[in-house]
Amino acid sequence: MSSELDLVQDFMNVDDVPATELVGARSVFDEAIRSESQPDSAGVGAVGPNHRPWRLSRRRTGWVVAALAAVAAGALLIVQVVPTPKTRPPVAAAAQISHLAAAVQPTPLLQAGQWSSYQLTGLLTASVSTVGKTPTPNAQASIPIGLQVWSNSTGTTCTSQQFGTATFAGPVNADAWHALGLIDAPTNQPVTDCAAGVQAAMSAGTDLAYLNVSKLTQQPNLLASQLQTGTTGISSIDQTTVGNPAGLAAFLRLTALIVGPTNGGWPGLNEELLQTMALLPGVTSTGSETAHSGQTGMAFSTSQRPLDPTTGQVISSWTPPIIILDPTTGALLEARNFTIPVLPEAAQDFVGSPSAPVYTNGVSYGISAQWIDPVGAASVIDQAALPTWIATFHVIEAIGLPNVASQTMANVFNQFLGTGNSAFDDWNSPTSDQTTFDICWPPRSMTMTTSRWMSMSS
Amino acid sequence: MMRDREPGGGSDADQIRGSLSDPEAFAVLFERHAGPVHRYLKKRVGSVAAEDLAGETFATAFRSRVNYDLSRPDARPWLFGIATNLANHHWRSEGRRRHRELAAGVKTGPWLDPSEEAVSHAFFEGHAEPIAQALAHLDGPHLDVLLLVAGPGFTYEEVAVALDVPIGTVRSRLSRARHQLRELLGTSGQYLGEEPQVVRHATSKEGLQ
Repeated sequence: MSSELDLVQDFMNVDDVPATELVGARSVFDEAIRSESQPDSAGVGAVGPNHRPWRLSRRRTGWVVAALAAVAAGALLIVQVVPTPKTRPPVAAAAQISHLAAAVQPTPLLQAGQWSSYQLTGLLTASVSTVGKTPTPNAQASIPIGLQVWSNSTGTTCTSQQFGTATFAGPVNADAWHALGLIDAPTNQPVTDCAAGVQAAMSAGTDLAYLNVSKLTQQPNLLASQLQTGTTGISSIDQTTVGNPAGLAAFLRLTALIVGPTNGGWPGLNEELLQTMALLPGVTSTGSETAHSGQTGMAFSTSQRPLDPTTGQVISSWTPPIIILDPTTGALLEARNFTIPVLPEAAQDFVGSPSAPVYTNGVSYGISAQWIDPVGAASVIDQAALPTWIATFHVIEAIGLPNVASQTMANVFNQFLGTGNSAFDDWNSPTSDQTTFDICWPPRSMTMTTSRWMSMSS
Repeated sequence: MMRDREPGGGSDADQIRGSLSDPEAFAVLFERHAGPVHRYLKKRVGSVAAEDLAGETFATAFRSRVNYDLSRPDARPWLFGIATNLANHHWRSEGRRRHRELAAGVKTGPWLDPSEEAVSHAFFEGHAEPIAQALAHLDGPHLDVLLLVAGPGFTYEEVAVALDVPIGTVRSRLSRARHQLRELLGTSGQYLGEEPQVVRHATSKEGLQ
């Protein structure tokens, strides 16, 4: 019999696409080109006021018309999800934020052998929404977290995350949590890991607890647009808040970027992020707030609110996100009430056993931050000051002729390194006349390589 | 591996670079890749939505081209990554729409469960092929990897770029997807119809399954 993959290939590739079926697609695409070619365009790559991340298609527009006739609430939803990027923050808030942005000190460039160390502490909310197909609305816990990140100038990033014991708002929450086979005290703490080169560049927070910002635009205006449209290129940022009003989604995404941890940044990143915040619609100043660290700063939030997907009405009980900044340095003191995108695998540390319902039946859950505080500013340390569990290693990049095989490279380099003392990996070449090999020594993993031309964004 | 560059002269990256000053240059990417992207989307969301989403894929790519890594000559992983995101968003939107309709007492389809996974599940189950009915039982992340390998024929590395995940994650997801399919199809190559052991959830996490 055919393998299961053959069957899927046959299923996927059985049809040819008649050219006529691409006419509509071409018109959508042409519209995008035309819109940028307009005289009032904001420039290459800019996203104008009428661009939305998920533009209503012609077919879906029909559904919207039907919904408008049948459901007034639906109309409210459609109207309110349209971004309003022309609306800027109140002058007072924008001016305050711009003032703080100007006070932000650039991050020092790391030299060879130097690492950046950044530490966060805070309190998360873990909510299990369904197990199998059963809704579990009461399965919620508060979980303390400590997170530390070390990164160097070559993109290698190491993380250590430590969860504390889960606590519950009431007995009903504890019972629901335990009924799913979840435990109070997490296992395997702290969770430590490292990624280097392309693995670090492509993880972007999916496996390790950081966000890769190396491809983020350095233009605040463009970033403000991308945050509203969910097109920053950092998928965990872009996708986590789709569906909210654009200004709210942008504020939540920006909060996640400001909190980090990030890798691949540049000295002016923090200043740019605040400049961007000053451009977002709906940003408001909420006065003075005291962080859990005891420091008092200037607080900012957003006036925009999420909509109930079933009614289209504004969710009044929702708690808005807040960013508290140091009034002197512009440094982040605390962020509250935002979806944290860097801990996607967190809940597995609370699974009691392989027979737990959450393990056997599958689960949907979300992690959000009640509050997160940086523990001091990011500091620069020498390699010798790294924790002992971080093993440093070297990656050598070799560029050869096209079609040179890994074995050929091994035959050459093993004369110097010794068979078994190196690991090779080859990647698609930067140009057609090259083949690139990365040689890790001592051997670590075949996925270790440079990030020079493997990272991308969409 | 270099890909066929027709039509047009330069690589995809060359065309994208050129489009920064001459937007029309980006149209070459549409001519090269719109057919495969549309075919992929057709199998993921159906014929009607596929046409819209194919256009939206290239419109989105065009608007965000300034962020494209120009050292990557082949833009297909980038484009299929966008197409995959749009397909997944399509099902989320469908789920929300059905949710609103149900709340308003409007029932326009046979599906009572309005969740994203339910409408996606129903889409695949609507196909006659047993393999499609088996695919209906894979969760979103595993399905994405499997269909990118089986459809456009991507390598692990290309899937990793398309989905912005580590290569190790691609390997493990593909392995688990194939394992699930083998269990669902049984030894005869036909879907046996049993309730799968792994329950699909678009937002479920691998470590919990």
